Amino acid sequence: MEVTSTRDGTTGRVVVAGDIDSETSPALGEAMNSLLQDGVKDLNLVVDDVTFMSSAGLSVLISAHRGASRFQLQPGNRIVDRLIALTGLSMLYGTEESPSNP
Amino acid sequence: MTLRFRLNWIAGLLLAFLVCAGSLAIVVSQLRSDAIDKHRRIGVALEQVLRLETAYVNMQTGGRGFLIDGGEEFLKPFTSGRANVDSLQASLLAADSPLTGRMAQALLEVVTAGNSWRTTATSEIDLRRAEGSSVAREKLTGQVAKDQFDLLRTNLRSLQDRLTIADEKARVLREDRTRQSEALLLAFPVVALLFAVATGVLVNRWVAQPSRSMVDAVRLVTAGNLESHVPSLGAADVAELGANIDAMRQTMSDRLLEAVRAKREADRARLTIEENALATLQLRTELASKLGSFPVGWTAAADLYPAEGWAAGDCYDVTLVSPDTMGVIVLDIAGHGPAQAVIALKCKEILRAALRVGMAPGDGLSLLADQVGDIHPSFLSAFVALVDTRSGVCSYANAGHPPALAEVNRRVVELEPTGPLVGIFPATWRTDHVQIPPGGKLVVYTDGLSEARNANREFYGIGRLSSLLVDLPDQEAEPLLKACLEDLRNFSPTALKDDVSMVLICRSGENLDDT
Repeated sequence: MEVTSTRDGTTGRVVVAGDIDSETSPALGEAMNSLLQDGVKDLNLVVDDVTFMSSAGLSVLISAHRGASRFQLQPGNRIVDRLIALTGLSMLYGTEESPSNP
Repeated sequence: MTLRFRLNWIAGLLLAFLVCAGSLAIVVSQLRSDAIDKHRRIGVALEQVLRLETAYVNMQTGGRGFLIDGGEEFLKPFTSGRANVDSLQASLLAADSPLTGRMAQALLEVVTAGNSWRTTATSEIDLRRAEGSSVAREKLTGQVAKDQFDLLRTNLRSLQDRLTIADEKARVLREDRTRQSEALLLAFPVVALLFAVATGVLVNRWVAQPSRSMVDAVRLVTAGNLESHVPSLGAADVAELGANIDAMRQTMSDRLLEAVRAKREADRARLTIEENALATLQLRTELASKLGSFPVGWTAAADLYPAEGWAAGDCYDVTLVSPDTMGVIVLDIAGHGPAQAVIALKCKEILRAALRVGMAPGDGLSLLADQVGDIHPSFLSAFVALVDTRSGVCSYANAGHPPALAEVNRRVVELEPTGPLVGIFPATWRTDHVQIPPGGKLVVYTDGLSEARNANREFYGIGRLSSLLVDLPDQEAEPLLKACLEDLRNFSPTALKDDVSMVLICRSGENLDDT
């Protein structure tokens, strides 16, 4: 897994690629927490090149969603979108809608 | 004060002593030598004065004989005596003569009186020789010459007396100087001996005694008595050595205590681990419920593999909630470990209770969500179903769980989620239905199975499991479950990264309602 994080004011952007599982997810969580602790309010997560995400990765995304004023997961990755659909966590896309039943 | 500083002081004192003693020896030796020389020269001078008196007496005797007899042979003592007198007086008057001060004055008086007498005596001799025997006896033996010679003798005696006194003084001085020299020669070894003894005593006090005390203390420490203090005695640097050894002893003692404490903690930790292991075994037993018997025509089997030996976050239950209804519960808590296992167990009991009181699976999940509330950072997925063993209708609710598989007439139907994960935000769950005909199967699993990987990092996946269900011949649940898990182990023989649970329910191919 590769994680790249950048910051512009109170907006942070994290680009992650590869497998997000129980072994790699702590590094992703650390990168996002680091931005949030440095004062980032809006956090964008780009998962275009993610090849796998386990429930451990999902847990890290939920924690970041709770820690940020506004968390937005970029849609478009088939694997991630499928997992979000199965688990009913569409609020991670940053929409104002309540999570709806699939 | 350091030992080196003190030893330097001793060396300095020894050097100063040697310099002083050497200088004193030289001075005393020189004084003794001077005293001996002075005594010798005064003795020589005294002897010369005595010989001078003899020479004058010989001159006077010869002169008188000549005056009386007129024979020239009588003048020989006079002549030889005069030569001796000249020689002796010259020697006594020499620059290095020991006759100084009053003795020099007395010598000059002797010389003056001698010269006066010699002048008179020479005149008489010349007169006797010129006038012959006719010269009157009284004329030649006048009172003048006699008085002059008496004065000369008196002066000579005076000089002799002074020289005798000076000789005695020189002798006494010589003996004093000799005694001083001998005393000094005797004192040197004594002082050196005392110095050596004092040095030995001090070195013993500064080094040997502290060293013995330290060695004794270190022996005790070596023998295992780490509470025995090493003393700091003697010179500053020796005392510092003792203090350092004592500090080392203290450090060893502290480390030993730490090691003892660590061992106790390790023993406690080992006991705790053993107790936890027992608790984990108990938890595993509770998480993987023992299945009971089911209505004729239905069989069920289940198994649970915890990830890498931990207590699982997975949990399942298959039981009869009524005489004709099977309750199926499979849930997966995010993460794995004892805490997750306890939450899973609690959730299972809530869901089982909900099914037993007749709640639909979706309503059971709502009840569960209300009961557990927010369990962040954890959450759980669950598949809950009720199977009517008479009609084969399966009512189910899926809370963000991997789709269960229903094999119906060689076709696999994926039972997709009917609501989100539990424990993240308030939600509701829909209850859906699927028919399980004779020969049909229901497989519920956790993501540890579908996401298991092989050495090429390929996923096991739902497709492989679906094909297996279709391809395997109809049989009871137990052998079928074993075949599925055997296939998983062949695919991924290494330790599983996540918990794997699998529940399989099979309906016999014969329609027993018709018999």
